[in-house]
Amino acid sequence: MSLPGKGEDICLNMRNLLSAYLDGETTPEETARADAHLRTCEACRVVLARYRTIERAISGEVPGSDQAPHDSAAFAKAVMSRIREAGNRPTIKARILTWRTPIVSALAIAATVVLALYLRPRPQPEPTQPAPAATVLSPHERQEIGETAPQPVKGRPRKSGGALAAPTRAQLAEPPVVASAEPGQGMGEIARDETSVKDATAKPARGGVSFVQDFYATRSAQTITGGATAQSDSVVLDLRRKADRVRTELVSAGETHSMDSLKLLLGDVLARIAETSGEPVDVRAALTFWRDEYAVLAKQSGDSAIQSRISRLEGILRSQRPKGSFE
Amino acid sequence: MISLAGVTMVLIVIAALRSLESAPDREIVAGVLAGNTDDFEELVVRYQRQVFRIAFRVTRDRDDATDVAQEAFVRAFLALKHYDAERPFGAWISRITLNAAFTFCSGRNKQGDDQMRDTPYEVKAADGFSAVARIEIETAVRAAVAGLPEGIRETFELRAYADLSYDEIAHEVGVPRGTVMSRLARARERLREVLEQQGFGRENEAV
Repeated sequence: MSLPGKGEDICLNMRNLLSAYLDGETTPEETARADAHLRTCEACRVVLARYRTIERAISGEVPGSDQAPHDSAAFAKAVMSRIREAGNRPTIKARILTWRTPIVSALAIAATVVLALYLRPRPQPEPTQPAPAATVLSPHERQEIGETAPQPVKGRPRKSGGALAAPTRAQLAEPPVVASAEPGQGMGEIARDETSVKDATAKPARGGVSFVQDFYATRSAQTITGGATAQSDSVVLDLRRKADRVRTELVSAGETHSMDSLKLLLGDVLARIAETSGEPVDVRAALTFWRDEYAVLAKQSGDSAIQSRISRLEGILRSQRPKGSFE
Repeated sequence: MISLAGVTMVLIVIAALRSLESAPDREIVAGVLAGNTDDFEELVVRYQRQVFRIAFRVTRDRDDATDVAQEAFVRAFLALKHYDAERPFGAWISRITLNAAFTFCSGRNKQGDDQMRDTPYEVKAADGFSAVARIEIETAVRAAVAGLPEGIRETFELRAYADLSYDEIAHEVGVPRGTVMSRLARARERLREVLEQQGFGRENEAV
């Protein structure tokens, strides 16, 4: 599947059109032209498919999550009360100031001048007074649509449904190592065992062979422990066992060195887990498992692209975000 | 006689309510600016789905999206005097929402880590494979979008997150429609390259 295709010039010209075609922003003639080209050009079909993948990654529906406020009447009320509290005062002031700006400024300047003249021989406490009024004006005047100063987070009233308060989130943002209350039991132990099992099959990682390997040896235990339940411990263990079995099959078939076969492997294993256990699979456990599989693949193939994907999964796992489960 | 007057009054009230509901956005905006703050609620009702959807796409979290959506409406209210009634209100508030959402996420991520502008979200999927694969590719795509050159990035975001039409984007950004078109094409090619360098696309497309 090489890109771009044979008629490179035609295809490159086509890219502009394909993008608009995807957005439904082509004229009927352009649409017909794109259709005709796509019928004959494999490379451009692949490109279009990838554009779609990118599109879906951003705007695709997330299962189980309708993209609308739960209670729209309550939402509107909450907005209005925030506007009345936070917005009303400054805006009314801003509006009055806007109307009166020229007059107020002129009066202020005049007053300053008069006072300055009048008080000249003495120290000048009074003349400074109008100045703040003038400076208060300008931020309002300058406020631009995109850069409107956000209301301070602390002060704003939250909708009752708006659950998580900022401080809670701040605490959660810390790596979830804190939760590893019993390091001897649970995930910590299992993960370490599993890492060493895996390493035994590939190469001993403890000797500082690479930063990444060392990192995983210590890191995987921590990361999982934080968010994990006993259930996800056993899931990871189970996933690993099955993965090892399938991997052995793939290796004997000489197929492990590709991302394709890895995806098949992962898909296969996770699907089987979902089938057999009947219980929800913890997302963090699955992601951890996924990352570890990449690490194995990276050792075998030395593909640098895999390293960047490992780092990304690490980043995902470091955040507290992926939570929940699939059923 | 009295009852007739009463009926007339009721009709007038109904007519007044109706007229707010059927009034074009720009009239409501004018009313709000003239001091009828409460009329703004009608705009909230009209655009809350759209605003929430954008907020959700960026934050990937319902609570965060609710906060961001509220914030966007408050910002819009405060900036209302800058709103150009010639432009569609929906596009205008979409852009405000996008800015509010990304500001929110960058604050959120400062507590977490690095260059990722946002992170995945709660997942409930029927299929574990696609859920994990989706988290991976979505994170990769978001990071790649964040890495786009400034000019084409905003155009791409207005399209991808806010679903604005080419004409609306052209209006909002202040460039010709043709420029919008070529920026989007450049953005997509760039994203495709970046993702392919990371190994996406070598595997099956069925992600």
